Amino acid sequence: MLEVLLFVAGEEGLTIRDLSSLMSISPQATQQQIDKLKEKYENDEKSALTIIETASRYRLTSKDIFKELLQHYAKTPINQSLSKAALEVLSIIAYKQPLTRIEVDNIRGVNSQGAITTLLTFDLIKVIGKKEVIGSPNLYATTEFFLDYLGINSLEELPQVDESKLDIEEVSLFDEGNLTEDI
Amino acid sequence: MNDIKIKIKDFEGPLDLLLHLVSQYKMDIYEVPLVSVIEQYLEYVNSMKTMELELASEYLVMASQLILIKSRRLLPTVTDEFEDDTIDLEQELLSQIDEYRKFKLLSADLQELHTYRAGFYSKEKTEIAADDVELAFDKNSIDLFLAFNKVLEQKRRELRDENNTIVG
Repeated sequence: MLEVLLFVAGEEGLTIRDLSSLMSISPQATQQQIDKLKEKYENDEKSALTIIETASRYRLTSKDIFKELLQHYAKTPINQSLSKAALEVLSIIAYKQPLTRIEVDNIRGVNSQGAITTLLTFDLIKVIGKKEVIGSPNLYATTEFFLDYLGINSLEELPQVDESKLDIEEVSLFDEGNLTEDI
Repeated sequence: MNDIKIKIKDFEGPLDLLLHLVSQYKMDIYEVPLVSVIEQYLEYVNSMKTMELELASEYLVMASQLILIKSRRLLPTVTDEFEDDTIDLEQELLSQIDEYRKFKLLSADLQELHTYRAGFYSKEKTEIAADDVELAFDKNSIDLFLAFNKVLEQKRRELRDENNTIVG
């Protein structure tokens, strides 16, 4: 029963609550069934499927070993990557939400209107209200699709800034800079 | 340092360029000799102009801010207040670069997360039509307009991004 529900829901996925009410069993029992089904898929080498949990929804997907094959075929929006500018804007909004475009611009030092429009079109961010200042600008925040896009279940799972990593990155950035200059 | 061979197009704005210049000193951002960074920046922007490359207006705004910092630096200290203001200006710029760097790194992390997620493909939701389902009239002409507009916009962007990749 679980399998067919997940199959029909496809990329939209289903929450534990949906599943347990559809199957009329307790959430705990649902969770057990999901784990069991996932384990079955993982152990079966002939099966191309697996179950992932993103944005608190369970989704029936292909195993990631098939990604190269499917990349040639599919190209659905979730598998497209964003431009550098859009990614920067997205990460600023993800960590500082809700915030206005001007606030994003100030952090980046450039106008971010283009990137924001892209992110809005891809449903990665949305307008959640107006800021109560002069001009009442829009406040942006991330969507549920954003969580799915990153494959996480809540904003708490976002990677944290690791200060020790910052130092290493700085050095590697330096090397990279040198490389480009040598060309 | 005089050879400038990285294209300004590779940078996401003036802060990205400054971050690049600052990172060449291989030390804590707040200890970087700012005046030499400013000189490099201005040199950079100048050479971009001689090569008649397109320069985003933000680079020029940043250039004027840097010139202000540099000229205040060179002037003799008249009052303590003047000195403090100069330091404030510098600190503000440095913390701006630092903040930008944080998000630049985080965006790489997000990209990594997404790349992993993108390895999993699924199919579209199956639309099941049943006889006893009644339509809920909760959509109006505006929703229809927005929905179609969104599809158009998405396609347009895809096409544009594809072109960009070829040129880049």
